[in-house]
Amino acid sequence: MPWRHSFRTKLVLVAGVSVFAGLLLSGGAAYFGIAQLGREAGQETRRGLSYNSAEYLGKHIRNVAERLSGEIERAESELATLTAVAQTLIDHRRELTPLLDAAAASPLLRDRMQIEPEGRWAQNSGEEPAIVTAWGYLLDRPGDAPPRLRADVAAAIDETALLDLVMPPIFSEGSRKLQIYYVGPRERSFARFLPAKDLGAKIFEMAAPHNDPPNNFWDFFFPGLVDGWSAWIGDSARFTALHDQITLTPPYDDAAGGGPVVTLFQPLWTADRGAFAGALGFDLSLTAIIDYVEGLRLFGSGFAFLATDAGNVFAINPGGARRMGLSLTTSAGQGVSRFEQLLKDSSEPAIQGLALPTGDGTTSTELTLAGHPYVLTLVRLPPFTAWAGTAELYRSRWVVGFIVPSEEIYAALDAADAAVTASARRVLISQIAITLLTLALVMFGVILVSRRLTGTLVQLARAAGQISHKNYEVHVEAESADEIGQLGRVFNQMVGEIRQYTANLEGLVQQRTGELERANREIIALNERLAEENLRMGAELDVARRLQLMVLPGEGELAAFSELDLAGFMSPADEVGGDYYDVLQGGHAVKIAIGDVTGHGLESGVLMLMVQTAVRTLLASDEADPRRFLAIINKVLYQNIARIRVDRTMSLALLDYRDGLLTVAGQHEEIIVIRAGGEVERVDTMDLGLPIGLEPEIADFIELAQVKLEPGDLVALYTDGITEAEDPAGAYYGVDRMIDALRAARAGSSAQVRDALIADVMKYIGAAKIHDDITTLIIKRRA
Amino acid sequence: MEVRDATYRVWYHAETRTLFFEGTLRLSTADYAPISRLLDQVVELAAEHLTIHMLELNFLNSAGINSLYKFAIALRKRATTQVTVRGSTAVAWQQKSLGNLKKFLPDIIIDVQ
Repeated sequence: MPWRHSFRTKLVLVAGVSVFAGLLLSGGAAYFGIAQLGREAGQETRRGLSYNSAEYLGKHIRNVAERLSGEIERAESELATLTAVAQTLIDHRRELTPLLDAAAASPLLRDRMQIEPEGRWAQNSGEEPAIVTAWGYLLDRPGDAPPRLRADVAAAIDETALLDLVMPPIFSEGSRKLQIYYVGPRERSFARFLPAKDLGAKIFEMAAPHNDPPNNFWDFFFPGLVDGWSAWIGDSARFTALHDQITLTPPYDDAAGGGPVVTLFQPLWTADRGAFAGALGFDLSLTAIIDYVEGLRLFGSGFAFLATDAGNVFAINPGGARRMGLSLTTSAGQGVSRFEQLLKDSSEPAIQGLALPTGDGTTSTELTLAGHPYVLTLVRLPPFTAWAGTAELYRSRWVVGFIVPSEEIYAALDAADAAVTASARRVLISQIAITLLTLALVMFGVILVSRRLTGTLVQLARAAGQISHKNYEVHVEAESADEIGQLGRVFNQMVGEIRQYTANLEGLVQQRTGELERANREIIALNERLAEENLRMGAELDVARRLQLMVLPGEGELAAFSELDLAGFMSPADEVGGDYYDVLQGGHAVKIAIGDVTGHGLESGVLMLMVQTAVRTLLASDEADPRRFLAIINKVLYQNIARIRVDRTMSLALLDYRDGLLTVAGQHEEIIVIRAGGEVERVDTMDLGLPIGLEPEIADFIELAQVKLEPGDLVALYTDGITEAEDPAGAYYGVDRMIDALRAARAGSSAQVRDALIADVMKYIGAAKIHDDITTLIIKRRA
Repeated sequence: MEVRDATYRVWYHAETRTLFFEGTLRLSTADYAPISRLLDQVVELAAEHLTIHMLELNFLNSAGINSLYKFAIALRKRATTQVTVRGSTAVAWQQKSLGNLKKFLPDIIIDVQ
């Protein structure tokens, strides 16, 4: 036997493959389990880290926002203090007249106004605490006389001389102010300015046209601002806390080179709050704020920025600006140059479309800059009143933003991921090693065991080969207690029996043939006794058989129906039963009958003939009511049975076919309907009547059933000779087998279906006795 | 009272008023005569109650069913006997035929197991 066919090879293969598959599966499960665990832990850590980073960034950004707003608020409160002093001077001017006059006259505070050599402006000496400048348009130029300071302007300067006491300490202390100044109302818009320097020349150099009438300081440098403030007049809510009136300009570059600044103004009002009376201003240096923002380092390379809510980023380090795709544009205004880095002009789509927050809380979003993911955190500073070049003053808020590369936030996580992947790989490698080692061990064991196990089998196979060559002198060594050992012992025993049989065969044959001879002699004797009886019985049976067959409709008759394809079959049993079927054309419908007279022999045949005659007669008399029809047949038969004194009844079903509708009356076997599509319907006729000939009146027991027949549908009528046909073991053929045979053959003509059914029944009966007539009528509605 | 052969046994147990059918009944109509006589006697004897026990009757041909129907019709004519039939759905002929007994004897109790 080739090695690859041997049992042992198969055994080793099966064991090897199953061990290998098992190890592979368990190893795979372990590997995927660890990978899965790593993934889940990673997700968990990622969630935790994102939460922590969001928390950290949120706290940090709120701290920064507080610090920045604190910076502004400090300046605001200084400005409010100074303004409150100036407003008091206006509100209590009358009461303070002696003080103001004294101040204006005091050597320390007195402003010694001098006309500039070229007569372009008036200015004090510069040795006083503050420089006071009255612009060219505040000078009277009467005819050829040298220009003089307008008297009302000079008076206004005197009235504010006292401020020289307050402004210097406020300028030098507290927040980082580049300049602080008082400017009078439009018509007297002189400036009281710190630090003291040649302001007239400076402003003239910067904006010469300003110096000429009909200009004024406000409308020239801050167009709309005074109109914006004046619009508040009469709105008492605006005047309850005057420091709320502080108004900020956008950030701009200080003209004198002081770096980025923002100007804070607070207006002054006449005592009745009915008119604008000047304002105090601080040029607050943004350098510290900007340096602070630009200096913030978040994680590795994260950065911060500060923007107006118009989207102008005015504090950001160059690296950050590059990453956000911002570019600086400077627009020169009158005397001030603004710098703008607008979010909407960014080269990064995510920054262009960035929506600044609208609430007070921090927001955190993820965005992609130059293909890299970042986390953006934003928070707004407290609101303030802002001027932006027009009379429309509005509430504005600055926005602090943090931008941090996601990978820096998740750096720890990525390290953990890498560790998990590495450990999963180590597990995989050790799993493979374990698999191979175990496989080697198991295979070694399997080979050892199989050698023992298959030894007996090999012997058995050899011995069986010997037996096939008629050598019965073989013996198998079977010592083991398992099934194979048992097999070997049984084999030995069987070989022993075969040996014995072979030796005694002739004796057995002689014994059996002797039995057959005896049986044969008995059969011959019985046959001789039966011959006489048979002659008589045979004659009667022959008559009955002829009677039965001669009244059945012929093939030609059945072919005459245009709508129905009909095929009948009847095979009388050895002792004729009383089966009956008929198909007749009536005046109203095609009348189809099937029935079975109880009992066998001539009397049954005669009764069947009576029924056939009665049906034909009634049909000829045009009886259309199926109930009456059957009731009359019953009555006729009942009377005839009584007359001829036979003990017989009959099951009989009468069917009317008309226009695709089959109406059934009378009790018989079930009617089997096989639809063209193969669906099966069984019409039980038990409740449609009673056995015929048992009772004189059965009309009350007759019911009708109706079956709609579509073209191609098939109906099988039959007698119990089919369903109660027995095979040699005595088991009935049954309705289910009949239905299977009908379904299988349903596509054929009625004749083909009939032939198939009868062939199936006959095959089933085989050599067994046929007890009863076998009858069927196949009806198929023609397509 | 008993009629029996190699394949069947029909007998009446007077104490329990029970008529037993057993085995396979595949006789010709004429051969049912002894059984029909026995049934006629049972009809005569029947008091207010009769049980027909057919659980062990495996087959009854149409001639036999005919005799059974006639027996039922005879009982109906007496109209004084409450009849109970014990039958089995496992036997095909009983499923079909016991329904007819109900038609001949509307008060019959059919106890099918």
